[in-house]
Amino acid sequence: MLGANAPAAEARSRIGVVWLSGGGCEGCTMSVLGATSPRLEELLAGALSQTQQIELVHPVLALEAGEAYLARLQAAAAGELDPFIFVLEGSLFDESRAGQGWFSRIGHSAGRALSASDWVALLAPRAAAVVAVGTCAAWGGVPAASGNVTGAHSLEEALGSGFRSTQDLPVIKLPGCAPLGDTVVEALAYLLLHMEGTVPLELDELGRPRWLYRSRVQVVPAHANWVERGQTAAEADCDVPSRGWINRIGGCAAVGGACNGCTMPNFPDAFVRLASPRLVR
Amino acid sequence: MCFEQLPIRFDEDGRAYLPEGADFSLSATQPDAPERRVTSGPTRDLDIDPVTRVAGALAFHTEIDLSERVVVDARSIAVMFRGYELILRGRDPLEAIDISSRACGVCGGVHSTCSAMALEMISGVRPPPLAIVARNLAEAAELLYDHCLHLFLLAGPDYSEAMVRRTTPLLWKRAERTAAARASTHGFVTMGELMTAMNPLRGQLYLEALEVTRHGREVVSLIYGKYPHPSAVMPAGLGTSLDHSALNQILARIVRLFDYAKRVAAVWKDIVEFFYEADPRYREVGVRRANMISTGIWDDPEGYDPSYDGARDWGRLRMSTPGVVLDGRLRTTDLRRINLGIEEFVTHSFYDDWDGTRLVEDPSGEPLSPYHPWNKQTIPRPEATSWRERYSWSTAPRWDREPMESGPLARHWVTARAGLVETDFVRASGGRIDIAIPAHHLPAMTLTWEQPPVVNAFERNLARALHVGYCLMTAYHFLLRGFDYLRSGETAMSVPFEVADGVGVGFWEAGRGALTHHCVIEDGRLANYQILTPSTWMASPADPWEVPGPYEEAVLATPLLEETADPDSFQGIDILRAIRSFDPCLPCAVHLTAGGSVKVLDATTCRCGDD
Repeated sequence: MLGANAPAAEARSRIGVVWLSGGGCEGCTMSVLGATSPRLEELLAGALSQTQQIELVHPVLALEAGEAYLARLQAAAAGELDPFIFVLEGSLFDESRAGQGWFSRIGHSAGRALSASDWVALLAPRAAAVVAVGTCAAWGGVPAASGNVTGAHSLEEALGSGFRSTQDLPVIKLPGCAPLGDTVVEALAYLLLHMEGTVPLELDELGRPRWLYRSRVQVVPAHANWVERGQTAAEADCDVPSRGWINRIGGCAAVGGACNGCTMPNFPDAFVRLASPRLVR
Repeated sequence: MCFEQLPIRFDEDGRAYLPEGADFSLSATQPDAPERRVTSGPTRDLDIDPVTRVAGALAFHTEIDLSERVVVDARSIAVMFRGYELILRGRDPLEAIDISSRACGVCGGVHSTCSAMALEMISGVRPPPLAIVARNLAEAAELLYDHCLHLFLLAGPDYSEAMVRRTTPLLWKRAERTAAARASTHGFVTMGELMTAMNPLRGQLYLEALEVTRHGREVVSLIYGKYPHPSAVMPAGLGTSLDHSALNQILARIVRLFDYAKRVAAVWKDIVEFFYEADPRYREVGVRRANMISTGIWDDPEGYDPSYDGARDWGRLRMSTPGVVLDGRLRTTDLRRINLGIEEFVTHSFYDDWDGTRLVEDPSGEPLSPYHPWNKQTIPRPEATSWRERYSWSTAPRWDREPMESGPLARHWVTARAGLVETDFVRASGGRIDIAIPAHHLPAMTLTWEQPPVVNAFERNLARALHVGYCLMTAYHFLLRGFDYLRSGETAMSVPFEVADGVGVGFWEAGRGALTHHCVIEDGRLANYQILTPSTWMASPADPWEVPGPYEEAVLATPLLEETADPDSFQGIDILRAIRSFDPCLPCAVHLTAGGSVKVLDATTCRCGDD
């Protein structure tokens, strides 16, 4: 049985993980469900943190729906789930551009629809740590690409660059479209250890866990003998070439695929065209 | 007759034409709107806002009568808008592959593939056979991951001990003392044990499915590099190699799942039989007319030619046959007819209607509706929710002006009726499909899908469970073809490709059903790019004739069998089972075309649907 050697749940302190999906594609959640080192279910069963029992509130994994699910988000906003880690997947919209309507909606309160941005405002200030999972939450991503009409933006743009969580942490960013599942689960596991005082948390100048974004990759089109594969000026910070995609299998470069800079600010506009296959003339 | 509502007719040579004086105006046709149920008892609103355990953002409004145990109103609300097609407009067409992929991270590779196919149709360049094999293998693996995710992580918990015990305690007692008919295959002695194994995050079947999704992802990653959002998809081939090593690694993962496919089929057959026997009214949960669309998947490595004119022939060579079923009967298997019959309406959606028609004919010179996706322009119009006016970011797609569902049930139905598929492992004929799975630890078994008398939530889930075996054995079939091509030295994975101006459509499928990307390229740039997903078809709001969308239709017919008499503890489990049986995926469903800019209306007359 998973976590059989961990202390009994009741002997451990409890920590919430409140996961919210904003304007994205749910690809980050899917990536996390594919993580193998460690697996999400191992993390939840307490196999890693010996002292903390995780209570996950996640829209794709919840047993409850509607009011019963919303009640858990409301409990978190009211401080009843403290301490908790707040995770956002997806971008946030400028809802003022939607007039009387909305671009995003997660339940309602007092007859009024609540947007993803409303929930961020309710949850982030109470959170012990705030994590932006994926390129949309970290930098804006595809919904924020040029031509958008929704005013899509990142979590840090919504909270302000001076934001600090109740444990004095800035927004922790785990970019990638999608990020490696292992990157997200490992970062969450590490964050738990950090919060119980076991390890330091080292973030780089962009707010990413330094050890997870240490490699540099050249942005290139996918491999084909007719494709121009010259040097491009662009590079991306990404651990996929050294870690593979899942279970050390696959990976963009490993199969000859493109690097389109999906972990970077200004993805896709600054990178996707460079990574498109062009005919050699 | 192919079309009954649309005015399109066919001449002696089978060419479509518009009879003199006929047009596509909405008043020209009058599909039957089902009568709304009227009850004598008091009704109350039940809002499921948000619907969880679906991919993406969905809310559902119902009005129910708990004394008569019926639903009197149902409104499906797609609650997010990202504007991807506006983002795509004017871009280099090759960028559509990576950007449209981000429509959905659950159906994580189908969009890029479908996009590449639309581009290769316009340029008329055919990928080498081994690349088609690779694309087919990736699709099969993607569906394996997706189906298991749905059956055990998304829909599955609705049939778990945790949910059954809470919503129907008497049914749970019955489950505990009911022997499971297929225990020798799946290993659970009673239905109670089986349902306990489906409990979220702890149950054996739940955890096992999570692990199986990883095998599927590994296969996709061996071909596409990364999943979701592949890094090796391009038109006219793939930017990857498929060597013996990759094929061997894929083989290992396919064989590993032989027994799993048998067990998944046994688990879901037992669940369906248990519910039907416990209460025959479960046959009415999620029931709707047998109106289904399938665009087909898995191309013949040598028969596929990306042309629009040839789409009837190469489509019929697919290992899952394209087609449309209306009232249970197969109307067509011709991809061009499927395309011709598609329209999208925005009467109850947060968009303005568009003026003007870009194309009056398709590339074969046949008449095209102004409401066809190639002609569609979406002008977002966010405003207050009103059931009478606008209430969803999903459009209302219709085929021959009828609402359509899609997914594994549609795939089986079309393929079984068409009877065009026969491999060493899969045979379709006479309304049934036989899937032969070799021995592993369990003995060899033939799984059979037979056309059910009703289309309901249970048959959708069962069809998906059997499709796990279908995907697995289709993967095995193409794996063997791949080894053949390597042996004969046909190892090319791509041919030179250049973007051309023109009109194209990609026909492919996500796990949950039909997917088309409709693309118009002018002056080397995207002039219009439309993504029509299975969940747009199914999450659809009502159409101009007030005919509800498929989720709505299914929920309206659903009896409320939950056992509680207390309105405050009522969960709406039967409604949720009906909705989740379609495998909703809302990131896919909502997007918009190249069109005007956002029009924000000032405060409208308040008939707010939120109250």
